[in-house]
Amino acid sequence: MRWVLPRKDLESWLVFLNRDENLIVPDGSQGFLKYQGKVFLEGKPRLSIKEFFLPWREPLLSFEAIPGVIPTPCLPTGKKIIFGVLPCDAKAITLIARVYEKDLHFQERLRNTVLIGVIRKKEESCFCTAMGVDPFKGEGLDILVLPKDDILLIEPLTPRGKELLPEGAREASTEEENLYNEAMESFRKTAFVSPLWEKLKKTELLPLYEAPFWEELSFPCLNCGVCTYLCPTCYCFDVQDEVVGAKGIRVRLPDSCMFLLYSQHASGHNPRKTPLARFRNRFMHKFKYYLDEYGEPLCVGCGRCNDACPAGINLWDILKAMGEV
Amino acid sequence: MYPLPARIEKIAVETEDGLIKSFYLKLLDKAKSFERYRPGQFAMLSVPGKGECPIGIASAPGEKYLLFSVYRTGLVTDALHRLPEGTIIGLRGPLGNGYPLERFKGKNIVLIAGGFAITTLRATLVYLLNNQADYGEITLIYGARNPGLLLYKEELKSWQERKDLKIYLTIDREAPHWEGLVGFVPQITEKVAPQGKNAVALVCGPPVMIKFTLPILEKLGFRPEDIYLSLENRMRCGLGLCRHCNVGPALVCKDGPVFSLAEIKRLPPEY
Repeated sequence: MRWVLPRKDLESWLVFLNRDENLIVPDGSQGFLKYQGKVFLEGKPRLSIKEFFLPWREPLLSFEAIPGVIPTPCLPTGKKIIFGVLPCDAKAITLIARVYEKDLHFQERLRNTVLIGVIRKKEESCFCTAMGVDPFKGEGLDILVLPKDDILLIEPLTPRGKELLPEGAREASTEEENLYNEAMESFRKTAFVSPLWEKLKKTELLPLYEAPFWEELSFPCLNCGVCTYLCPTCYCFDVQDEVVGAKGIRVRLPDSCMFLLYSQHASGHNPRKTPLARFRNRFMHKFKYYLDEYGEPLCVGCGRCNDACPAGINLWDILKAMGEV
Repeated sequence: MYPLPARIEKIAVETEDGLIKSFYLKLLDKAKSFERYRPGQFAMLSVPGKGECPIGIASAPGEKYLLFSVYRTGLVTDALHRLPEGTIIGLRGPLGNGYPLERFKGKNIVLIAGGFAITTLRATLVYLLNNQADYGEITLIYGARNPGLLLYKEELKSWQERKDLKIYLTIDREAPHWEGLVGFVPQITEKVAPQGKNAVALVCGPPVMIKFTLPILEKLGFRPEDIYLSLENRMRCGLGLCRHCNVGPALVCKDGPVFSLAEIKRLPPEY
């Protein structure tokens, strides 16, 4: 069953969601922040919601900075509600969750975070459907909201989502249900999943790895890593010990496979020494290794990498070349 | 998985250059995880304030101490080398797959080690000697640049006296008072290793040693499925999450560190 809320009542819903002061919204084009009365639902925020599951700094242990100390484990605390999530970003969290199935920190955050998705207008750089993502499925979301003219059509997807429906919402009429269904069907009509996945699943690994196109396509890459930072599905991390004065913590923080140090041994030996090797590793992971293991590509088609790449690299050029092997 | 507190009960300087120290550890609390593990597995040694590093477990299950022989080369290993006996450090593991010793039952086994890569092969050898009846003939070929760089010298002596072990120690060049073999590991292997039929070879050493040893094993009739190598790559989590250690689709921390040569031939050369 779907629910209807007049768009003018959105603010009162947000105030209701924020009763524990733990509501996060896209508050501008850059990304998600604590709700302060503003919400940005028009375009695509530059940052996804990844940082709320794999934060910039995730403390694992804390300790007194003295030799022989026994550290204390840390776990993330506090519940969050994130409103205005892009359905593709929520799907990305489900892709990461498969790998992080047994990770305490990730799972704790997953348990304590409610995701409310809002369907937005498809932008030129979007290609979620080609990756097999259907925003109307609402994978990873607790509630899915479709703005339509002056109303919000609301679909609760989980029990905890149901509990957070706006007080002023009423059940959708047949007409309104149809509005939703029509929007969904007209979107799905234009959506097609790329045939590349079925092909790439069958492609042999080593010929793909050794294909000559990597040299030309990786040439412009600066190994800056912006694609990996903005990517909602990239999940590599580094672990570092930080000591300030008498206190220390061990933290987990995002890392990028684009960086030379990422794979460098203490001896100096580096199995992915060349920019080509690192470039190839990123795409092979997304479109071959992960695909082979989980049956889906590790990409939700948000297009942020293409938008942000300073060298103008477009993921589709690589995918096309991979598909031709 | 959090590090378990372990006390350094004993430290031994293994090599004459002082770069390898053996740490004999005991967990403060008995932990089930370390009661049973496979030789070939590794653990993360943790020094709060410095970090963690992956080190192969050099002791066999059931030995009095958990043994780690550590080459001083990076931030954490340098910090470890500065610690005195009695210090408490962290131990996270056991991690990785280890050698599939069940599959080796009834077969002749040759262990080929070069330099300080003997650590997890020591664990394997101790295990095999304790379970001699399940296995065929056991051979150890171990080489180092010079006698001073051989690890576990006392133990090597006692192994040489055993009747149930064929042991060949070699150094690269003649040295005073050296009574063992002289020559590189691949050449010695060619002379003394058993034929590959109904046998497995476990090879650990520097890349150049491995490169020249593998063709000799294949010549002796070892199939790629019967040759086992232990890979190492930079790693952070040891749990298959952080992806630093991937060799193509395989993760050294989770799918390895032990791979058969047949498996390695199917992977990109990222090690």
